[in-house]
Amino acid sequence: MAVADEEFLRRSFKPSDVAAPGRLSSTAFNDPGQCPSVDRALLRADPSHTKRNPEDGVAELLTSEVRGITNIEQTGQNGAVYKIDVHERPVEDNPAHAQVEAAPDFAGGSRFKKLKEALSLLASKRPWLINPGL
Amino acid sequence: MTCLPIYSDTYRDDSAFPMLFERTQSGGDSIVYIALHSTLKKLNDLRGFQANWDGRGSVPPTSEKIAQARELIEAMHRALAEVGETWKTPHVAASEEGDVVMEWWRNDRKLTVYVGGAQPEFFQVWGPNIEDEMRDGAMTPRQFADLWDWLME
Repeated sequence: MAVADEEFLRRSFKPSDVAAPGRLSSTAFNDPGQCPSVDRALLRADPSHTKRNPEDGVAELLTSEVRGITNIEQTGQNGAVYKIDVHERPVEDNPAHAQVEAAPDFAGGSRFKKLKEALSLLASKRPWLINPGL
Repeated sequence: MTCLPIYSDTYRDDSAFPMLFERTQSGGDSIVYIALHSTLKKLNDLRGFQANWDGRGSVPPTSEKIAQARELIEAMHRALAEVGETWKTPHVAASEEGDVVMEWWRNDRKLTVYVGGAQPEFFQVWGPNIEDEMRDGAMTPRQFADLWDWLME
């Protein structure tokens, strides 16, 4: 199920993901499955619970902005169109878990690299909820 | 003043990774200063990455990819020196596939270079729209000088 436009999303990042104050590296959104994990603020009120490690920081995204990254048009393969969306993906120890996903999946790495660029840019525009312990 | 990059053989030894110096000659006097040390130190730090280094299942960069990145850094630095531009230390990190990722920012522009595939890839970013505000492609060191121009405009 898709997350509502107005919901805020949170992402944990490592101190080494910070290139400069307020400037997040695209590698903060690394994901081998090409579906970066986020937490829904609505279901996980305390941002410190999003941290994966004590020294991590927590950045915030707005779902509508993530959807607004764009539709991605796949070239050369039956004209399929990719759409970036945020889906609820609750897991046993984290009902707030969600994922940024493309439908259909990314066929090539450069599309996912662009998604990471977009997410890191959006996450750098908002004040971080928790600064990392540098 | 002419800057002559000097890359020592010692520096090419993966086990050593000592500092890199660049020698500038001016009026017969030699001034030695650190040119790429900070960049290569960051690159060397990637050697310590283990499997699942980020807790998300990412692959660590291999020695081959790090060596490939080092050669590209030297070549990019030479390309900039040839057109009178100054190297700036990038943010150096790794992707989930173990590629080396170098990133530079200037105002609202960003340049990212990936090393580890068949050919280095560049990404120019000036906004979050994937279709209209980003451009990507394969890159040679000479093309890097043009990308640098764009970043510094």
